[in-house]
Amino acid sequence: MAKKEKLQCEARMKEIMTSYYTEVFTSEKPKAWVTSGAPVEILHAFGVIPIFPENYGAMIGARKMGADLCSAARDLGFDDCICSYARAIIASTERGEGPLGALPKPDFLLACNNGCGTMFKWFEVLSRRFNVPLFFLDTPYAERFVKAHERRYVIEQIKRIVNDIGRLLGKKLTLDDLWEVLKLSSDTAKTWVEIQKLRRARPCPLNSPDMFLHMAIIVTLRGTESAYDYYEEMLAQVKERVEGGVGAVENEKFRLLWDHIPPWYAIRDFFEFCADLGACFAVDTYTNVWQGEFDPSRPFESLAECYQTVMPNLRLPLRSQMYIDYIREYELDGFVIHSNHSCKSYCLGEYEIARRITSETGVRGLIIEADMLDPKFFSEAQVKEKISAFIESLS
Amino acid sequence: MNKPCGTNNMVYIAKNPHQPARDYLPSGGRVAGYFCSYVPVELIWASGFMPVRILSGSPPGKHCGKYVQSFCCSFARSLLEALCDGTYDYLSAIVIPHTCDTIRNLSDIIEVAVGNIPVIKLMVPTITHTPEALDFFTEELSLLWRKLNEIACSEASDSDIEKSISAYNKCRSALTALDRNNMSNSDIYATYMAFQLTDPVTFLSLLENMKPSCPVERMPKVALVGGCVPQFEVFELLDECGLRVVWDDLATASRFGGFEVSEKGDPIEALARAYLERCPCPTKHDPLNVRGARLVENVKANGIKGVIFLQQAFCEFHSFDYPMLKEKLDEEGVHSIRLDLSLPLSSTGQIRTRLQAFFEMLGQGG
Repeated sequence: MAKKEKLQCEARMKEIMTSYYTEVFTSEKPKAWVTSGAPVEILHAFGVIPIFPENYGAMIGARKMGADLCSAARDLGFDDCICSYARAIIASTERGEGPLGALPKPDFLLACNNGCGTMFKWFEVLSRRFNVPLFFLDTPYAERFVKAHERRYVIEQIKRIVNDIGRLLGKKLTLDDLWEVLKLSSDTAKTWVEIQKLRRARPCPLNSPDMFLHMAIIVTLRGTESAYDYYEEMLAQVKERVEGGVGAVENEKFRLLWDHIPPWYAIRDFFEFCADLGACFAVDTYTNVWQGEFDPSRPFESLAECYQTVMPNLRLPLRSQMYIDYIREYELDGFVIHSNHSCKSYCLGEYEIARRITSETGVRGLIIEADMLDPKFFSEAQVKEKISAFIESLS
Repeated sequence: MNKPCGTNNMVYIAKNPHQPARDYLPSGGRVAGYFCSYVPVELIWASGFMPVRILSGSPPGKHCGKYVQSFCCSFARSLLEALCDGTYDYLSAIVIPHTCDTIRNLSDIIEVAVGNIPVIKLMVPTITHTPEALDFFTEELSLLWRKLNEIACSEASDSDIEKSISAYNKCRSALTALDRNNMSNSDIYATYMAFQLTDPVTFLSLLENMKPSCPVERMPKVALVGGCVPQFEVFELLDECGLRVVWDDLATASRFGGFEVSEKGDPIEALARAYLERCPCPTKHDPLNVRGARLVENVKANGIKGVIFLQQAFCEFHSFDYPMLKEKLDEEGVHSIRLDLSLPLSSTGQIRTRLQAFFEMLGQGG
């Protein structure tokens, strides 16, 4: 098996993200802080620069600044049971610290609770601290069939948000602008899904840490041409890998599923440790969240459908089924669930999901406890011991 | 019930929270449990069930350990344990609303873990102040009404809802009128607990027979702020430490017992409106910071010297609001203290010590 090289597009990704953050920090255009699961397409259509504190939280984690900022948040009164992204960003804002300093003050905020309720609480804190308006989209927890009154509720809110932003900016959103952004966002998501599907190949061309790296653009820039072009380029390169039999992990022996956000401060070390044991993570639930396809002829309905039914907003039986489907479709040997101290919404129910996966597929899994950003909840030696015993047991 | 009269009866219920439900069963009655103050008890009662708020937990053990992580709040873990270990074996249905992420997820988990009791899930909008939120909640309550009637095999009508609203309005009105000058903290909060653990008819009859327990001495006036506080020992400790509660913002007290439902128009819409129009709890979007403003307003209006935050350990939503509320109190020169509670309370010693220290601080002209 050939050994993996970095994708050529990785350099391009760094350029795009550098250019994005340069614009975030220097542009005079209106700016909005936005949660990763909010309808960012509306902001692009208005010409507003979206800023994603969660993405910045990941950067804080990867630069190992999480421990210090979370501790600073505690001094501000925000205790450890609060999401570490929220704690770190609030402290970053207060102290002016972060990988690039504190993120610039927004003109307004846009939040959606389809990832968790934490989002609107966190953004309420920010709204009070910055003294700027918060626009909030409330998405009811979704069953298999979304009820008509739920759909109506979400659509009406989206229309209200569009009006409120328009009033704040003194601008009217044209449907043409929105159509164009939705089309780009949708096409980008299709390409992203296509890339994900290529991971069914043996050996798997992309390991989960690769996806965590490359997801930055779909999170921050979906709805723009640069995001669309980037993933088209990436898709071509991943196809080449598959055709050439190039695997992400040398001597792939085990194919695993990774559930949840990774512990950013340990991402490289952890996944390399697993790779050395022959384990490749061929699926990760988190990077598969960004799959929204829109019908631009029904913009508001389409936004409502997409944003209400993202994976973290699905009831437990639907989420379990999704994981079972991944296990079968990607022919996986096991799964690893990160029980993330920060994230009640995503994590409460994981034990039952794990039982259902094993019961339905016979595939076994491991649950490890940690936190995405605050290393105090991560015991490296213990996690490595567990993962190595688990992988050994798959042999 | 063969129990003492007056407030002692309320205290008996607070200390024996399952007794009213168990007493209700032999006559052929059925009982439905519910979580949270956003579930309209009026609908449960109108459909033929006696509503009982699920507040009495078991020590977290093997059942909850099978389903949720240790970082899940102790309130949720303890109630899950109690639902699994048979403590609530008298329930014929459970209504679980979407409030915080934990309780939302718990609704799916309980369905699996408990198995033999039907679980009705109620979506409560996180936004409470818009016309679309009202429409949405009205529709959700209509669905809840239909499901309750299905499970109860009942054909109750709007007129039954109206009667239930009227009965609960009487209860709430009586609770609002409680004479805090002549009642101990434990008597007041036992009365609130009894309201949530009995049916409205029994509760009103207990209230009629209630006599003031004792005139309250002049003591430092305090307010309580928090979510659910079923740990009755806390109120006894407040009495013991000489602190007099004159106002609260608790989900198991004034926030649930301190409003009125309109008895005009469509009853389900009236319920949706009344439940949403209350001061938002921390699980609801509060763009105008009504909670903070209301706290300060009531502290001033009631001459409150200190505020005690009673928080269930690991409750993220209350933890988000705490720094803001504390800052507002600091600006007003009002002392505050935060007590993180476990369910059941593991020990009262530390709480007693902290309350005693708080009393001393307030007594020194604080």
